[in-house]
Amino acid sequence: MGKQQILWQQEPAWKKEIAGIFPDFMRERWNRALSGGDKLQEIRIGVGQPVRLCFAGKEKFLSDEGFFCGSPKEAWHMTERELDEIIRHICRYSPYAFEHEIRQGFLTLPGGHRIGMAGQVVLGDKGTVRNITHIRFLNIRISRQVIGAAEKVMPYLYEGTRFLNTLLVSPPGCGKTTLLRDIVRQVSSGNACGAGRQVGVVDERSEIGGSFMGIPQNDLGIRTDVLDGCPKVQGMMLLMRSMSPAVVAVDEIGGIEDMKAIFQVLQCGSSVAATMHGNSMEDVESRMQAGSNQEKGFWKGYGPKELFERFLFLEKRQGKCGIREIRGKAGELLFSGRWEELCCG
Amino acid sequence: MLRLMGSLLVIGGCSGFAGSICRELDLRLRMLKQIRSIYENMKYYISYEKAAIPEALLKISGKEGGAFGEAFEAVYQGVYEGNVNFSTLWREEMDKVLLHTPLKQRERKLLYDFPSCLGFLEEKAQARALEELLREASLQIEELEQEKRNKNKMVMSLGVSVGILISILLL
Repeated sequence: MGKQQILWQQEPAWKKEIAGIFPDFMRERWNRALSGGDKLQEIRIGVGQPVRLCFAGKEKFLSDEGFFCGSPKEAWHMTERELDEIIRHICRYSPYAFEHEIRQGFLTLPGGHRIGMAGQVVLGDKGTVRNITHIRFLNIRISRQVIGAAEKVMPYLYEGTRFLNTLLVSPPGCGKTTLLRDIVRQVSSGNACGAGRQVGVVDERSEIGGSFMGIPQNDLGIRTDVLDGCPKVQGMMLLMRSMSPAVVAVDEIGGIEDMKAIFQVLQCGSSVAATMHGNSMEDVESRMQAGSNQEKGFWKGYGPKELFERFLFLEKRQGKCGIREIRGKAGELLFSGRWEELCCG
Repeated sequence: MLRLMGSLLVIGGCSGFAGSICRELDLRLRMLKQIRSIYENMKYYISYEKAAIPEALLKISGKEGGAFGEAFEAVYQGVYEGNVNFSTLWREEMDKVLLHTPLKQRERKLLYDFPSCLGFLEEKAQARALEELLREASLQIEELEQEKRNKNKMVMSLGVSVGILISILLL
């Protein structure tokens, strides 16, 4: 693991935070369950469904007493009342204060843990999601920050002392956000390749900073400003106007509007670090050009190579995430094959 | 001389007793007004700042101070740091606040009922639910003010008269 330090292994802190999600009357069961759940990744709860705990590659059911059990029949089936109590407790008895988050389908908690929600959707006049009532399914995702994950990548991301515009590409669950988070931290606090810079993070889904009430729960470095829950395009412009960052970080870009916003950031002289779903350079090009081909004039046919100077492709092997290859602006291969060297946990 | 002194003491005692009844009414009125102001502040924090209830309580605790301030701070800490159930904690803290107060059961209910009006998904709905408690508080204040107006003079004059009567009987 080298210099990497997986923060979620600091047992008492994250276990206490997760146990704290649940109301008093069921906390003892969860304390019991969590005491044996060192590699816990997700807790899945649904009304009338068995409570499931997902570990790296494994799934276990939880019994009424808080012990692991093999079959769903013996498992604890959450009742409507129990789930309502959990939600009331999570929302600090003030669901209205979390209306925006509930509408988006997730809540971020102290420690950066996220709770995904599903239930009955209430639609607004224009067919948009107005809110979710009768929340009946929860997915509690344990936050894991890997300090040092980007250590070996950093030399590839600098030209002299300038941070290069970087795009991290992978299918979901391969560590893009984890790597971006550590890149942000290192750029912000300074590293062997460059002095610390002012970084602005547009954290639309609260995944990079894991902010709770505006305060990032993950370490994003000493010079990082976070715009939490803000749409990417507006967020990037807002940051450029108000916080003058040297580097802007955004998660999961895709459409032509995102590209236009990134272009404007670059025009202002700042650098960009972003992530995107995909698997290869062709994926990236086809995704970005699919939007730009429908545009006219300057934007027609505009592609990723005009914006980014480094492309990092990540993938998962044997349950571990790592970097498959790093490519330069022209698509030239800068790093490939030595998988284990850049593994980010 | 001794008889006169005794008579004056009896009259004074009776007047004092009457005065304490009036003061109790005053105290109840003051507390009800304080409860109403707490709920008004709470409504503001919910409607305009969209603050969660424990946060709103913390802000109010700074303004109110005293027993209510301490209780609200304890509720905030219990919910945020101790992850304790709000309703249970609220009841415990309000029991402490109301321990030595002259509030009647109906007036105490104004505080005890607060957790049952929580849980709305929209701040407007939540604020409206709070308005019910505010309305009830205002109604009780009005009634008590009326009672005070009617009772105060009567209780005081009755107190002095009873004192004089006892003095005459003893003399």
